[in-house]
Amino acid sequence: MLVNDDHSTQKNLPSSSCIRKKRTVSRIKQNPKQKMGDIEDLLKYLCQRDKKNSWLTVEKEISSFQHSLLEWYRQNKRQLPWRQTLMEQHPNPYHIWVSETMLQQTRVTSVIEYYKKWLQTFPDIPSLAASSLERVNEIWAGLGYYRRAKLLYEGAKTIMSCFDGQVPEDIRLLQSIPGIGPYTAAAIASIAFNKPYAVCDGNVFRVLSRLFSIDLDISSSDNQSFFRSLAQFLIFKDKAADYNQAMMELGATVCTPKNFDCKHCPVHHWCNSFQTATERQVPLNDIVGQYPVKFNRVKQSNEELQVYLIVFANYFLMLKNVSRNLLGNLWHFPYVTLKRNGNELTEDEKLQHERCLSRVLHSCGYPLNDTNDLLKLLYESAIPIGQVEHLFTHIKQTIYVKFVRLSSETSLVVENSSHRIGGIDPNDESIEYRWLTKEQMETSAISRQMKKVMELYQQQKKQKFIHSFFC
Amino acid sequence: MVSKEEQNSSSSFQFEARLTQASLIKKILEAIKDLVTDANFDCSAEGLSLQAMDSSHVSLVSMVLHAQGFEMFQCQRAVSLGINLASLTKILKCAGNDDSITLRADEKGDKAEFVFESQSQDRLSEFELKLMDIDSEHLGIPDTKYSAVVEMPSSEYRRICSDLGLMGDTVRISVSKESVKFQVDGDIGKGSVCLHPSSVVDKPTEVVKISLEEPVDMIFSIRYLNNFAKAAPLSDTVTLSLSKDFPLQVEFKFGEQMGYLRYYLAPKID
Repeated sequence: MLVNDDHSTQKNLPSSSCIRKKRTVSRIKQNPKQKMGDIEDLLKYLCQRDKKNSWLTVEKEISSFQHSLLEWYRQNKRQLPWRQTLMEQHPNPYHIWVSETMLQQTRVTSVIEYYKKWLQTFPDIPSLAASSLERVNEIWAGLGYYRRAKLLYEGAKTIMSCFDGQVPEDIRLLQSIPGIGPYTAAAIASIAFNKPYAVCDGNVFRVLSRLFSIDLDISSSDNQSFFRSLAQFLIFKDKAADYNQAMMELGATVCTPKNFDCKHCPVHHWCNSFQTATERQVPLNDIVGQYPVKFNRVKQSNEELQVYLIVFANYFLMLKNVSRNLLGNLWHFPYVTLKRNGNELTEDEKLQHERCLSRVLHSCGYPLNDTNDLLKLLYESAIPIGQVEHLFTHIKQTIYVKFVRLSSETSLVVENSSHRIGGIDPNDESIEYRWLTKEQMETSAISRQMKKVMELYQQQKKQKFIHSFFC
Repeated sequence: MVSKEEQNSSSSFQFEARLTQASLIKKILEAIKDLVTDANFDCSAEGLSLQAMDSSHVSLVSMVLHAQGFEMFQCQRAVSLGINLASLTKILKCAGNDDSITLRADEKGDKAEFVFESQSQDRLSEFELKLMDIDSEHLGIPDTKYSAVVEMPSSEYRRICSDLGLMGDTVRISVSKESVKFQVDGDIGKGSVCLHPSSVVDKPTEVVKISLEEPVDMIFSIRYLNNFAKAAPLSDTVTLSLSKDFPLQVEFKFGEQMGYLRYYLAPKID
């Protein structure tokens, strides 16, 4: 396996790491050499797969590739506020750091205004470090992923206390600063200090996968190491800052996921997938568009649920999701999962849902002798009132809703407060339930899909039932 | 077991009935199978009838085929045939529209027999359908004098429902002496269709007739009305009967003395 030098074991150095400055520096110098064996394997792998990739072994070719790319970047780069500092002899690493942090998971167009506002408010590291978390969050508000703002602030404080207010040039030291991981460290080291570290964002992964027709899943971390080594091999060491930005710019403006513009690509001459498509005279999208290959690891899955609105007087029975998943601690109507990805659930799994519900009803004083009584209640008195669809992260849920009105003749203990019942059987998890009116539901923590269920019920409520007229 | 020889003129079946045209039963099934999955076909001396609610308990289907409408009708004792309508559809697919159809049920009541015979009598097919036990509550439908009764061409009814169904979920039906108005109010906008009683009667099947005790104005789910429109092939005209706070009745008659298919739909409230 290829080792990625960016992954440092000292990632989470304590802030006292300044003392260890010297030792770390000496270690980094040995690192690129350790990787040589891997790079040979990598080149062998790429050339053997396709002889179109063999230019990788010809120095002259690599050099003209680099120059074409750099020349294109010089002429075509976008004017972005954080590129102003690059005109200076010593670019301001703080600017690079802020922009790279803001650009994570966020589009360039939304970052621009925030970047300007940030630098107006915190023109340098001391002013940021002297600020407060509230102020930092205020400026960040609207950009999302607020953790990044907090980390910038903490990073600034660390730089003040450990590095005399100067952003360190060394990639390992950079990584000891909160919020600076391998990616940001490489970006700061290369762009601000022109150190020969390849920066690999999603754009670069895409460019490389097309350039060499690499059908590896870019979401796997092993494969990302492979791409990083390749990027590191291709980097133009004297102009690392421009080279890295050129690669990212190419991916962001020309070699885009869709509507890529191979005709205007400065390196299509070297591009395996472009050349393959041209040779075979097939549409570019059939070859170039297939990279990076998608493995759909997080495949959209689907679920079918049967939700029961169990109503007594004007109270609805709700259970608390005690799991730690995304819906943890939210209240939901009792439900039974029917199918997952088209497969019926096993009887055991269904039984578990049903047991849970019968325990709750039993605890309220509903006359249930066993699960069969519950099934009878659910299957015979439940009236289907429709279905709702909900997309929950990557799960498409189809929720069938049934309405069960418990006879007003049963004497139930219906209380508003939350009740917890422990398991009778050691396998039974403890359950929390409560009875809520429609109005109380509006102010309770209820998931979006359950709100949709309630909306359906509200609509349906206007519809009278036929058996209320004929008997 | 009863051997062939012992069978004499009087049928050994509890119930046996023959219709000259299978198309009637086929159309009835088409008209109800999307609303109801399983139903009891009740056979008695009076005829064959069916009553079932849809799964949401919002509408009710009531079908009656009078004994005199059959070519042959014998019923020793009332029997109830529990039938899955999807299964029945499969069997009826095997019958030609002009075939005669004979339905039989024996004492055990675990299966029903269907015999289809072509008009020229040179093709005879026989099918057995396993019956099911269906628990269904039989609802009593009170005799009602409706406030408003509208008769209109069933093709017109079908067209209005399908057109307005594209706009919204509910339709407001208002009947006055002068007109019957169907109004929809949906996400994309609103619309209405207004029919006036016909003054000139050229073709009796294109007539719109309104008889009114008092004006009504009620809201219904279009989805169900659209479902009822599947019965349009059964009859040229349809009769809508409305009374305030009471289910709408949508009736398709199978011709004189044959019987009817009625749908009842519970109203929506504002």
